[in-house]
Amino acid sequence: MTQNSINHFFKKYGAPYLFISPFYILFAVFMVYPVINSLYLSFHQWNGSTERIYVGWENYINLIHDGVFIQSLINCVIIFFEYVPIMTFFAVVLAYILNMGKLKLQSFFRTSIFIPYITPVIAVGFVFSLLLDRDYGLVNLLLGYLGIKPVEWLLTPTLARIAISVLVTWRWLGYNMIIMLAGLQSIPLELYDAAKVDGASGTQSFFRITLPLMRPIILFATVLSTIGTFSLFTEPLILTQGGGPMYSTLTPVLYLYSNAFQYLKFGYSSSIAYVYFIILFILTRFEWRYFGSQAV
Amino acid sequence: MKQFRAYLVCFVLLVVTFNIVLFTGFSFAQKKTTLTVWCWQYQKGCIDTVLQDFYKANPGIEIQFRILNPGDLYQNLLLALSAGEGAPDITAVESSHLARYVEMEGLADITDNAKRYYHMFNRYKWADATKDGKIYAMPWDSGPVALYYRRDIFEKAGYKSDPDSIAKLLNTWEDYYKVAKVIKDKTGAYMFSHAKANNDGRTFEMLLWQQRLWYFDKNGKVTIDHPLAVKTLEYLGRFWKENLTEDTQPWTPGWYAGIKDGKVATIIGAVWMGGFMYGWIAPDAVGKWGVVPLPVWRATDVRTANDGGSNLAITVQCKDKESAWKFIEFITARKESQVAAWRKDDSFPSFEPAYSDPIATEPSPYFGGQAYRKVFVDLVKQIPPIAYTKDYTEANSILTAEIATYATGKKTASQALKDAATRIRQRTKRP
Amino acid sequence: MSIRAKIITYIILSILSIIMLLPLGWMIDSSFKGMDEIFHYPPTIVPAKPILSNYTDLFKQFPFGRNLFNSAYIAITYTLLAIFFCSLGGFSFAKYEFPGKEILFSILLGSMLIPFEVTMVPLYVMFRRIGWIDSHLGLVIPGVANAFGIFFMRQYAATIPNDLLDSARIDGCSEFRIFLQIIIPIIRPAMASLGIIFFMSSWNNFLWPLIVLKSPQMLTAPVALRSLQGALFTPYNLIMAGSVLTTLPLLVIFLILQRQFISGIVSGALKM
Repeated sequence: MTQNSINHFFKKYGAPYLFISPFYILFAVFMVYPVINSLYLSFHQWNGSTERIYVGWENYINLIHDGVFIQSLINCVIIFFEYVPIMTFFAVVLAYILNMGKLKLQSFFRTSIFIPYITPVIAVGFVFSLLLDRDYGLVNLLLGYLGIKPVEWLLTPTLARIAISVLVTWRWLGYNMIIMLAGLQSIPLELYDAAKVDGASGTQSFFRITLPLMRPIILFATVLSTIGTFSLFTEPLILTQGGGPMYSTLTPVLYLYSNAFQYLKFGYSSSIAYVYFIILFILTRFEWRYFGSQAV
Repeated sequence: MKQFRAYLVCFVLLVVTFNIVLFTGFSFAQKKTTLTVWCWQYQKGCIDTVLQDFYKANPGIEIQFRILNPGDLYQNLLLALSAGEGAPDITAVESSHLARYVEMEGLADITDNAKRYYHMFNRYKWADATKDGKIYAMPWDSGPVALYYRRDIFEKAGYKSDPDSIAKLLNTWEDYYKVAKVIKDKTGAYMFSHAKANNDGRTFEMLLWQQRLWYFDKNGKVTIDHPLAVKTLEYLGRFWKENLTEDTQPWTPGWYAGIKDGKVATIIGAVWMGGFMYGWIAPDAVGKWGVVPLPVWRATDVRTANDGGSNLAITVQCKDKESAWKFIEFITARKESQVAAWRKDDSFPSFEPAYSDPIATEPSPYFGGQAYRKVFVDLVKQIPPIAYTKDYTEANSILTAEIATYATGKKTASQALKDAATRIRQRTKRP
Repeated sequence: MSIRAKIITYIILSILSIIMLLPLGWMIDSSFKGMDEIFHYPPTIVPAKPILSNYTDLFKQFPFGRNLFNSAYIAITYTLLAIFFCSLGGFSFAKYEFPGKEILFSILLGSMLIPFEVTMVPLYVMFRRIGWIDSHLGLVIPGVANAFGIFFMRQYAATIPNDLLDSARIDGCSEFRIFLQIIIPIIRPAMASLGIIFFMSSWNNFLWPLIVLKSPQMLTAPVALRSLQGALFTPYNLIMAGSVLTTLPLLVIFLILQRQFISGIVSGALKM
């Protein structure tokens, strides 16, 4: 390499390399290093101040037998199935309705359904704590008018999970609706016209044209919901003080946080982080494979 | 003009120099030590009663307080001590959480200063404050437990409501259970409050403590699944099954309302609970409450236990441990300070010389003229010396989840405690 | 659509809107109630005894004004820096060819698969060592050039005709000047969209500030709200007031810049 060719190299490529370097520097320092360090820590026992003790696979073995961790995974699966199918379906339906374009107040509806998404999760958590209070909450008051006895929202495992599902649905419905709207708007109108010519009804077009073509975007939304459900942290923390009755609303991230920052089990929590990572990866790959491959 | 400018420059330089000298000289002359203290709002209130006296006696010391909620204090303290920086000079810590910080070598060894006070404090308080013969914290207040009862509810149920009669009436826990049914029938009130799902396990702990049982025995072995513990839990189970307890989460508005509105007939609680009641939970219920020692199961049980109670400790990150010692000594090992806190909020002194103060035998209008403090003074000396140990917080959180499974009918008491014991063994690596 | 279907649709949408807005309304409502009215049975819809003291007490008892300010200036700083660096990176990937571009871009995409939680504990330990605990630096710097933003801006930058760049180069412009004076004006709408997304996410960020910030005056508003939760007593009245104040700026910004925000989300989604 002559001095000249080096100069030439920098002159030609210096700018782009420089421009993208911030990302890679930050990536190396704040992502690659911690990820590797996390793996390293997961094979040790460490309380953050004394030396790290090498324990091999012990953390992982304990994790597999850890009933509380398994419960946190089960919780997420239950919550996922409690709200994702319903929410995704309604998001599509709402998007479809709002897309028809001939409604007055359309932007008002769209805005009001979307607003929950931008409210700070903390604030939402506290408000729902008040609304779902067994003795003083508005929800039980309204249910009372329908003749239903006070529901112990956050006090039984099943109801606590349902409460979280309700909160999450309330929060993400608008966001999912917007994404579905985007997907809808990319479907060429000619397809609908052609279908009408062939005598298809509105419902038929919906199920035969809309849904199949929306598959990629529905898949995208589902993947986001999966990641979102398993990484729930703030909602259970505020609504159920981080665990809920009998660990019913504990999530992997909450468990990670408490092991690290309340019990100083840095090694164990790193192993939780990795298993969480692997599970998320497998789940999203599975969803991609299963739903993605059946695209029209 | 040039001359004027020269004079101006000199003048400015003079003023600046003068200020610098003044400033640094000032701070040199008055070298004050600033100590940071972390505590709760409640504890600050107790300290405030004698803070000015402390400043008068120690003019070179200044204190900066940081008020924290218990949960935040414990977590922040844990992380700061682990990080080696960010911890305060002095911290208040409940006995239930103390051993953990001692174990991680986060608290300063104050044996030389403290040992002269050793015999003046409740003996059982030293269990969590000491390790290997060294002292790491000064006991501050204790939490002897007794039974608070609503005189008017007992009267309505047809009983005599003076403390002696009630003590006889509620001699054993079987008596307590029988009376609970009567009260529920005749007045509709619950006997006491105990949540099923979101409980904190403290009532169960008190009932164990009075039988000299605990999560662990003296050798560190896990004993929460001891047959007697199972029996105790099943005893509580009777109240849940027969709807004799109010199912409300403690420390919530609903729970406070239950106490205020007379929905519960008794409270199994520590001395500081009384202070809370007349202070802010039910200040209008003057004359309606009384206090008696706890019922027992057998003659070898004591009629009390401990719940709560704090200590003051110096952290290893404190740069001026001598001044810090002066502060904690002033607050904990000084009769006037302890009595002032006792008078203000019923912060019950761990410092025994305080018991000779007339406040101990003062009749209280709130408690129907009873000298209720004397009840606790007599009880505190009987508390069996059980250490919370460094694993208490984790053990308690595991236990409460299992109690909830039993209370909601998902497991038998024996299975619930067995599972609790197994998980505690797993997480704490104890036998 | 038939009239009947239309009416049913309107009713359903209206009910849904009410349900969506109800919690916010309740939040505002409760912020003017005292504790005894919040925990009163039956709950009152309109405050019977409206008070302003929740707001004043909040500021008196806690450095909440400072907390709001922290949230604001961290979000603004982060947003400005992030849209700058992400635009720069996006532009590079869109308009330059350089050795290793494919691999580097795959790394960029791949990095989006790594959840933050995996890095949480080591990052905390690292911050401890470099003194970034209880400092705002750690909330701004790590994410300032992020994969999502670069990916996002790349799409927009790609639409810029190359001739524009080439003629500028012929005129002797440095690459950076090209970026500043040609690219930025064109991708301004995208920067606005991305900016709002960044601002919202920074303001709403909870877990990481919770771990990193310690002193009361350093907290951001969401973390400060959480610290109000006590063991014996949670002042829901103050928390509601604080929640309203924490939500209000986002609401205002959103209502003004709705279009940009939504188009940002839409294009982010479509491009995935």
